[in-house]
Amino acid sequence: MNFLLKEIKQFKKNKALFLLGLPAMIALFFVSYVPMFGLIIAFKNYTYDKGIFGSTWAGLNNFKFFFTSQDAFRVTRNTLLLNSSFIILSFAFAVIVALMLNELSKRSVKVFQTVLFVPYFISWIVVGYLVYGFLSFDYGAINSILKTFHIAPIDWYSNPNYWPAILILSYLWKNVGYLTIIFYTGILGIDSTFYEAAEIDGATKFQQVRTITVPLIKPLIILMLMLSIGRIFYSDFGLFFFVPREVGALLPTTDVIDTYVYRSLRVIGDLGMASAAGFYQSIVGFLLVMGTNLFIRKVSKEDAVF
Amino acid sequence: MQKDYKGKSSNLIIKIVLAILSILTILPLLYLISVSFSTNAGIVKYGYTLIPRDFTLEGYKFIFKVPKPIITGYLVTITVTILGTALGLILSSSLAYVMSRRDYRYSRFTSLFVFFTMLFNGGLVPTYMLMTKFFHVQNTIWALIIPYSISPWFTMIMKGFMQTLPFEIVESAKIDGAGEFKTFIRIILPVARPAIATVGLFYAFAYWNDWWLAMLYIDKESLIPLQFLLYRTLSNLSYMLNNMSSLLNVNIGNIPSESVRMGMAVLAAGPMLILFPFFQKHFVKGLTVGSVKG
Amino acid sequence: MSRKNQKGLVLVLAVVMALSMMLTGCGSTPATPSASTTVAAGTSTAAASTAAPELAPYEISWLFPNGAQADVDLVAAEMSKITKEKINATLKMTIIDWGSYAQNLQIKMASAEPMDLIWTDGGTLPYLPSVNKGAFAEITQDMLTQYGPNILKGVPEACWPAAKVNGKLYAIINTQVEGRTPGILFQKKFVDQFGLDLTKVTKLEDLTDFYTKVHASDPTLVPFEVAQSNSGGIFFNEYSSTLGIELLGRQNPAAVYISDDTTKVMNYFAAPETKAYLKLMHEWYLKGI
Repeated sequence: MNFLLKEIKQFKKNKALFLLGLPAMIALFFVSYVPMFGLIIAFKNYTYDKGIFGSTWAGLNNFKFFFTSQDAFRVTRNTLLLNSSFIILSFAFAVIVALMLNELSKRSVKVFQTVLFVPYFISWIVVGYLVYGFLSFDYGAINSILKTFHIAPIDWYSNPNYWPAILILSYLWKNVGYLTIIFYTGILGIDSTFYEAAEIDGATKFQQVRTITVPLIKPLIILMLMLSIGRIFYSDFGLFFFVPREVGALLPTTDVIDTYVYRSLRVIGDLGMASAAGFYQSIVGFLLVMGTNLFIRKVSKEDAVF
Repeated sequence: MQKDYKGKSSNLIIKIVLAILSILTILPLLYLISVSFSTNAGIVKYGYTLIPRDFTLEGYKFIFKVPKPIITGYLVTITVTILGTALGLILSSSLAYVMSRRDYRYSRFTSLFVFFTMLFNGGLVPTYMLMTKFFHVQNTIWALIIPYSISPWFTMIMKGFMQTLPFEIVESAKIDGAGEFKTFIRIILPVARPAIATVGLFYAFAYWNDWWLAMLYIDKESLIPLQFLLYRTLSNLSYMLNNMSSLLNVNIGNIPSESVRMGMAVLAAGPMLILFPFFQKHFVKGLTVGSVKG
Repeated sequence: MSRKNQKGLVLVLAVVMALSMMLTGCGSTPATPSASTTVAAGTSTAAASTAAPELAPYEISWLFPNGAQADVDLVAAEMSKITKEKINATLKMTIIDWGSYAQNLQIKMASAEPMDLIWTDGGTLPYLPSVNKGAFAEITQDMLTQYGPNILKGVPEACWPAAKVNGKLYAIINTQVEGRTPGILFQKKFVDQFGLDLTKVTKLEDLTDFYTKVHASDPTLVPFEVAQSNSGGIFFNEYSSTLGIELLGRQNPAAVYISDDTTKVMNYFAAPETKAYLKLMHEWYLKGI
């Protein structure tokens, strides 16, 4: 009872902030939480005429179907390896570019920022055609260049070994500008009096970056990192679907969980298995995030997200 | 102010590095524009070239053969982008702000509440049922707005930005006797201008580029947004190239497919490029605690 | 009809089913607020399930793929006049573009959205998986004899089994395309120039000489090209009938010999005929044809 009273008292103290966040919480509840009843599809033999609640229970069969397929290991491995490469490389690039931008005058920032951000506007479908334009065996720009140097043209679309690199380059091309903007905006939020004080103390540029900028945007980097880790089992579907053009020979290195599920869904229309795979991605992501957060809390409590 | 102190030689190196990166980034886009002005025959003959060997406007002519859907498309997209971005910013900034307040008792719970939705979702079919059977928004403009109006991803990014803001300004506002709501509107929002511009840009981008919601919920021609129109033409084009000609006797040889595809991409991305500087204007440096208080 | 002929016919139809279009009666659930309500299989669709003169007003929802048509509502209104008079129903036609038809329809069916008639086929929106997922209501023989005598007249009797799943019918077959043969077009100019006697051409191999001559005369000419730049696979599939092999599905190597009585299913890619055909194509490729 006492505990409850205390809690009510606490709530009163926080009421204003709670009310400020409430409309968004309600919106989120409707848009995201309500449809979650659909997670039970993962445990059902879903048929259209019986609906979500009327379909018979399948136990863990949908999961079994996914995990016992010979491809489960391959797609999980590809998903993890490619996504971790994406995260590490894009973060490194973006942070460095953002720090560089911070050193420049406003006018040049505008030019570079715009140029680097433009690829983000181009949809993956078009990127797929562009990559094909570069790599196509007969007309591709790269093979034409190779030919002018009398190097034998390369059949990019039949050798899976090239593709992790091609996918990583495509990803970086499209996303580094976007991430850069996020980090640059974070840097903009830093109180400029810090730098002025450092200047007076005679700190060099590099020292300022190391002791002011980096520590102050660290929480933002950690947050972004956590968000990415949480979705490491999900893939940017467009990238993996449109860029390798569903070429069978490339599947050993380009097939990820999302494309695998999509193909199964298209062939057999099995909603149950798609839901099961989604559930698996969610659970693993959730555990990874909670683990990372716990680790960060242990190391430095200030920086933990939750 | 800061600019005065900056070293010149290090700036030059930075500029060179960024210039190289920019050229690498822009190169594929130049190819894209070039192809949109090339003939199919030219592409087959010369491959993708930086400057079209045989310049043509056929691709754009094909796209603009019937201009009415494109005009409708732009109107729908602009309306949805403006309404959606405004709604998204209101919801996200208020929620992000309370999450970023370390003295807020439910800050961690709220973060978890938001973050959870990034990982778990009910899937396509339940969402579709909710939108059509509960909200009944199919074939209305709201179907294109509501689903993205509160993005957990953007809200978390906004929270990240707000965390870098100097917390002292809130405290000093409190001492001055301002309520939470007033502090948020009068003090936080102005300081968080770069953050709001960035997240606003992301929201605008998400709405501008969406064709998925239109595919799911819209079958009225008067509500078809630009991107879906483009997507539809693109996919119909490849559908026709792949299947139709064998079913019906369509002469697909006459469609300048490559230039149409790339022309579409140019048309879809172009307007956002014009919009970009508008957001960029707010990426301003040097806002200090002092300047806000004073 | 000899046994052999009969079998040949059924086989052709199996392909017809895969390639041609079908109209399907869907279970519709008018005004069902809850997702749990089951699709009332069998209770609906034909819209005229009762013969009573006073029928409750009903809106027939008909979805099919096509490019956007400005006048679709006008057409629906005109058709509604007829249906209104006959069965007190109006018609609502919804056109969904080819590219998104399958995805859109799958979600609509999975969500048990009310609809009465849809278009389905073997490739775009596959018929069989939808049947297995309980998407369609059964069309019984009684319904057809009572309300659809004209349909029965229009579709040859031998076609019906192709659309039956476990003995039940869920779709009406469109017999617009019953068979298809691949062909090769020649330019008369070159036929005359290189003296190709078309009456003697019976198989692809007979063309090798001609194409070689064309290529030798001017290497910039492309002597042989598969129509539709993006869809070599379709030519490849359809050419199978010329090899005497019938493919059972579009994206499936299962095939049978047309002239064979055993109906033994084999792998198209393992057949010696396919091998010879591919060898020839490779030979042409190496020769620059």
